[in-house]
Amino acid sequence: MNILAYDFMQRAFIAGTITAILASTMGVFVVLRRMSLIGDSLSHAALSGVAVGMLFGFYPFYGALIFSALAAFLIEIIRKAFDKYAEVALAVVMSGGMGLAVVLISLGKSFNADLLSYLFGSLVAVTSTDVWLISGLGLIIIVSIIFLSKELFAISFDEESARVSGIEVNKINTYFTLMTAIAVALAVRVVGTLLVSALMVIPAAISLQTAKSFRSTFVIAVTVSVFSVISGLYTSFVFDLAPGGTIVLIASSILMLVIGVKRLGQS
Amino acid sequence: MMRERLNEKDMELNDLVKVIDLSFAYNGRAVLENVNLVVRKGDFLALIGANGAAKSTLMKLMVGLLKPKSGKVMLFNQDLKSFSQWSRIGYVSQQAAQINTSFPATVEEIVASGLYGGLGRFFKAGEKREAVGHALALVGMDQLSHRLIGELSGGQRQKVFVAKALVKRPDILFLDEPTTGIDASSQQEFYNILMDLNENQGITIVIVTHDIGNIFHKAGKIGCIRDKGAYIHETLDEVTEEHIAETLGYRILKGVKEHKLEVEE
Repeated sequence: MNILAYDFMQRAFIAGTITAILASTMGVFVVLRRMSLIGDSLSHAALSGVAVGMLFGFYPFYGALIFSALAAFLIEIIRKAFDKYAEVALAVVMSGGMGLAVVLISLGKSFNADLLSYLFGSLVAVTSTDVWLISGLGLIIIVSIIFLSKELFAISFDEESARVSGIEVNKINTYFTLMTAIAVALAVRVVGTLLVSALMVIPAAISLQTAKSFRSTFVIAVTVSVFSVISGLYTSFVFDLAPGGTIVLIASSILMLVIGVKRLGQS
Repeated sequence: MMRERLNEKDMELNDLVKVIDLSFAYNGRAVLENVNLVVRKGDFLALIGANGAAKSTLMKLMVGLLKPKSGKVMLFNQDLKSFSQWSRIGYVSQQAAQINTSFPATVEEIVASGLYGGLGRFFKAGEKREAVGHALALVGMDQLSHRLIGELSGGQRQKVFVAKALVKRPDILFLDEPTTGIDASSQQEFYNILMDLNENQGITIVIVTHDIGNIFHKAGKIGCIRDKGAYIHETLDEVTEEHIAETLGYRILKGVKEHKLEVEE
């Protein structure tokens, strides 16, 4: 059985692979900066953008992009008010986004089914417009983040000395936040609001357990992520499962396996 | 006349840091008022003070991490506001000592990240390796370059952070409480490295510490930070037990002049 014979599966594999590379690349920096939950906050805000799109009759994906970006800046503003408690901002924006989404959904009673695809992801429902958006924006983000990876590494490691070495920390932080927001919105289309954070954090977590250098951290995270998405898509097609959930289950099984093997090795 | 002017110019070139009438406040509470100090080429200046005396704040103002309420800082005779020669400065932050030990990077990668500001990011692999090797050799850590940072002891890590600050071959090194949480013998070794950098590599050093017992006979100058001001003693002979007692709030038991300090905690 050649599942790539189906157009929708071809689109799913292209969008899925790019999202996998994107989410894991951003995820490594997000985890190192102790912002693991930012994916959850932004994706819930993106969901309210989806609802706005459905309510006012424009493409929900655009709503997700705009609301995710706005939420990212809101997080930065709230973070400044709670200097040492960054997670307060993440929690506020996550619940605020969800609250707004719930209110908007209750206003427009007719679009519940469509909304589900944004909640849990619907890789097989990805349109060719989606594929172009995900590929175009995704590649721009991946290339620019790889270009800035040296600066991002220095900032993640020690922000103060990065500033003193002349790195434009504020500009790079703002750019990174905006790119994270767009990446999350793109990933929402593929794995859904509830699972975005998993795709960002789990590959990074696996690489932290196994990496022997920063370079290998990236290689491992991207490899695990792409493997999880491709094998998850295939498995979900064959056994008729929800693709987003299957992908995340595969990734988290790998994480548990790695932790288990490491423990055995130590004892 | 000509000669005098030349001398003046020479003097200016030797002033690496000038703090002029500097004041700073946290949320409206003044912590530094009209501070003046000069760091000259070749100095080894230790800034000492009690907890909360704003000695780290003063250092952050000197490297531009904080903006003064009034007054200014000149680095290499350039106003800090428009300063751009960041490669001439090395900085070991307090943050560095608190890093997550599971940060997935090798010693080599961390030291190389000191190059990334400005044009350093465009270094070729060969140049980068040479710069990193040189910096690690200066602190005696060149054997451990492929180890993960988390596998090292606190003292070894601190030496790596100094190498990271040295990798651009700066003229001056700023260190903010670098020996916090390091055992006594590693501290001694650490200060010896700083002395070597100062005497044999010609690197000017400014260090913030409350560790007067260890730093005293290593540093050439002592700056006491107290009562919102900085009192610089150009030679160790100027420093009396009274000065130290006033600054730190506790007495040194044995004479300062003998350069053998015993500290009453």
